[in-house]
Amino acid sequence: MKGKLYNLSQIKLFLGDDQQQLGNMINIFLNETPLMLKAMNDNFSNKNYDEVRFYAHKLKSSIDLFQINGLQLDIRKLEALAQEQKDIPTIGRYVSDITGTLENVMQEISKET
Amino acid sequence: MNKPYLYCGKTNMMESLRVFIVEDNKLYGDMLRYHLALNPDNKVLLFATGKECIDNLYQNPDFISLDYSLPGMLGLEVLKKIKEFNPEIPVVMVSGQEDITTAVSLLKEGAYDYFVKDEDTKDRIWNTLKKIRENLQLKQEIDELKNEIGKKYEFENVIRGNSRVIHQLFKLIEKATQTNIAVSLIGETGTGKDLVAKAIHYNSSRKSYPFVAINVNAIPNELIESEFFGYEKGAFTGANSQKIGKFELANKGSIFLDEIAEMDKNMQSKLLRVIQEKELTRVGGNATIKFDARIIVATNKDLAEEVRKGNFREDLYYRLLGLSIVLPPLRYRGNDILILARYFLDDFCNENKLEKKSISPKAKEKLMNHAYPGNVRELKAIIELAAVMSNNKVIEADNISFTKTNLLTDMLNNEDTLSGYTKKILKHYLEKFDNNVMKVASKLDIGKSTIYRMIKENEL
Repeated sequence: MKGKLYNLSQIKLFLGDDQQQLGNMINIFLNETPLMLKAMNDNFSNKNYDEVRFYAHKLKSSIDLFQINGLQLDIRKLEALAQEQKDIPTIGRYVSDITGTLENVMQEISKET
Repeated sequence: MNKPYLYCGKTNMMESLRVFIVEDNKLYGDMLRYHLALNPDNKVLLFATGKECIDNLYQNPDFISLDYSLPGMLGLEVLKKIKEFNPEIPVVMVSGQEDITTAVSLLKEGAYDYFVKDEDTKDRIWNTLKKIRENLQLKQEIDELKNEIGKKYEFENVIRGNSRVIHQLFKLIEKATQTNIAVSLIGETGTGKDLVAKAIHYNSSRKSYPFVAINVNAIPNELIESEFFGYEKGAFTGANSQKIGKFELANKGSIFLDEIAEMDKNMQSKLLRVIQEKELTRVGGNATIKFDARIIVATNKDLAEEVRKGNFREDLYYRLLGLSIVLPPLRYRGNDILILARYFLDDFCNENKLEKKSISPKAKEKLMNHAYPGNVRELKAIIELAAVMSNNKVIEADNISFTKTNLLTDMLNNEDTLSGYTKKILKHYLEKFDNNVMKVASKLDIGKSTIYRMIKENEL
């Protein structure tokens, strides 16, 4: 069986045993992440790479908190590439991959609540 | 505008720290807010944009955790605006930006610290808040002590009395507090020149900065320059380390030079240069150090006379004269003698846990008839001794004893010509009777016209 895409240990360091607060945090993640992903994808479509960088930067905090291992490096690469505004195809690939993985994470994580 | 999220345990305003978190990643902001609010003494507000933070600065936060990458306005811009509002607010920049140049530029702009978002961020912020709380407590204690000192040096607490001369003195002291003008205090020994100097300082805009007092007469001539301006290591034998001088210590505050007339002429020229240039050099050093302190000087001598005699530099005299305040001798303060006697008596009895005592009419008369060459200081000593000597609740005339020295002996000790003595006597009586020529003529048993002639001749 495949392992989980995320790890809650970092968040639990913040929250201790407060299950209710953990539920609140997961809900925030589930509510906020789709908005950030949509904004990032829309800005990529509009070739607004500064904004792509901005949303990648924002997503980075959430990805780090939920320790989404497959994405911690990718999101940093995306942020750097978007800042430099070069290698647009790779930027596009990262946007697409990160979106897909986060959608999977959200599906998985929603079962925690 | 979104309403900020508020989390706090108890709201003891004396102890709670108002913490702003500015973070547009709601997840991260909420986590941080939750963590910091675990301490019930933290009152935590979360804002999603820099603008919201700036709009709420009126709430006077004690600490701000500021995300570098914010929508609309970058953290650096928000930091600048916070610093414009109040440069004292500690702002910690929290960012996913692992870039050292960003960190350096933010620290240069006045950020308290810079943390990269990682697993240790919350602990770093927690510890920073702990330090800030400790600093604020220390600052609060210092402010309380400063307030106490301020109260201690309110005019009415420094100089007690109700005479006309004292009311005039209050007006002059008040004028002195309103500007940075140099002040020269002239008065006999024991008239409270040092207390007036402190009252001027602690009631002026410089009160948060040091008040440094130096008795010029108490420092040997060979040491005075290094005491005033400090010295560098190795400047002379025995200078094993650098020493900051009194003038540097008084920076932004006030420096009080008591018994200024006793200053050596060589030192007078050095002091003049420092006052003119507003900078000094430590003994043995080369660097010039900016100097900004209000100068208050005091003397019991007639400085103008010292200038005439060639003992005091004229140029320095005019530099230091500024607002000249003459502190009246106690013998010219009429009923203030009894007001002060009452105050000293109550204070002494209270301090020594003695029953409250009163002063008999004869004792009052005796007190009023004394000349007090030692002024208020002498009166205090007389009253304290009387309180010890009295066997009941009343101070009697017998309990009051004066020292042998008196004005006449003092005057005779300062050898003078007959016309000099005459001038002094006339001046004394004119001051004592508030320039009432009739009274002076009657007391000296001479005619009014003689008095007028003497006034004219002696330019009184």
